[in-house]
Amino acid sequence: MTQDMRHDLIALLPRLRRFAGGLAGAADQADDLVQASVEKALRNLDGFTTGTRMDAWMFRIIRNTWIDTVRARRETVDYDTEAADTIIGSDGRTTTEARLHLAEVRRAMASLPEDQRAVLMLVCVEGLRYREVAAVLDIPEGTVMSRLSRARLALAEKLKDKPLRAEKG
Amino acid sequence: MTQSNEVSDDMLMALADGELNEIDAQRLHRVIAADPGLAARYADFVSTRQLLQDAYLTEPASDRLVTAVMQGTNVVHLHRPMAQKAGLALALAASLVLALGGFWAGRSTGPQPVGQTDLAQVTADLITGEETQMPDGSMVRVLASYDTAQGLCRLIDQGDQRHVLCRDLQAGAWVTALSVTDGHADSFLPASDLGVRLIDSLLDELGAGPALDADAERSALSR
Repeated sequence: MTQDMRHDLIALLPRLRRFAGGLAGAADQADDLVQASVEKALRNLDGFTTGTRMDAWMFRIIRNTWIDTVRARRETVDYDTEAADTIIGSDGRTTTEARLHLAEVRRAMASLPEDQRAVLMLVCVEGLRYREVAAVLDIPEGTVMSRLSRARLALAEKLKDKPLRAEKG
Repeated sequence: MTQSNEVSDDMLMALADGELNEIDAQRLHRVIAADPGLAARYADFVSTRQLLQDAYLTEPASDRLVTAVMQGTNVVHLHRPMAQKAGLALALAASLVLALGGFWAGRSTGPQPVGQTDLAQVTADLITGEETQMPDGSMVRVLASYDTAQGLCRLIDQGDQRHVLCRDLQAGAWVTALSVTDGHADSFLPASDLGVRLIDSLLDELGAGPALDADAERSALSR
């Protein structure tokens, strides 16, 4: 691995961690997931094509690593709920209303199926284009859109009961 | 002109996500503005995007992730296990510890190594993950720092070589405890590689703790 690639990867770490957090829920799990993915990436440098987007390449590795983890544990539903409660529990007591609301968003997110969380994180948070997400997830662009649309409406529905809308905190 | 009843959720979503070209976007914005029902559906797509962006912020990466990138997976153990109390590596390392004060174990295949004092001086202000250029043009990078029974020790990467520099507790002078040739600069060594085991064994012999985090490292360097 060249120095430049290492630097690029380090510069990406905050975003990789954020993406991992969206998939995994809890912060320490996100770190573990990113570390495992970085190690995989370093072992498989041939898989990276110079000149292509490293973020997309890493998102793909993180997502696949996460799926492997979930498959190994076979406890995705319990895990998500637990992670979400942890966020609410730790944030709710000590932080502002706005942050509590955002914790509600994360909880609603955690209740969605994994494939919907992945497209939501990649499109809405990471700002990838639909075609880029299709490449990361190895699915057709039409599937990205239908999955994303279902996820958005489900998320909006879950948050409708909550006293929050698009106001920024 | 696009009609309200022709507007699908996918079109609204694509607009909210900036996927439409400018002409289509303007056209759709006009249709939405004239239809409160559409506007409400569109708002769901815009608000979910915004809420998610607010709910998932980036934070600085933890030191261990930076270390994972800098060191690779098998090059140096992040949480170094107990010394493998057997084998050639340990025996060699033990003899190297006795030679603490300057000892080149590596085959010197690359450019001549610069003096250990230069190396220590050049890296004195660098923390783990940072790198700089030596006067001879080679790049040096701090891979890790450890508290040891001998004082502060640092693992430094220089081209195809790895150095362990230790600061003498009394004199405060830096000495090279070990230098090993690392093969090619861009290659990753398997964990079983002798050089890596030597470094690990040496650190264990010196009673090194886990790699220092950035704060502890800065504090140790300033002492």
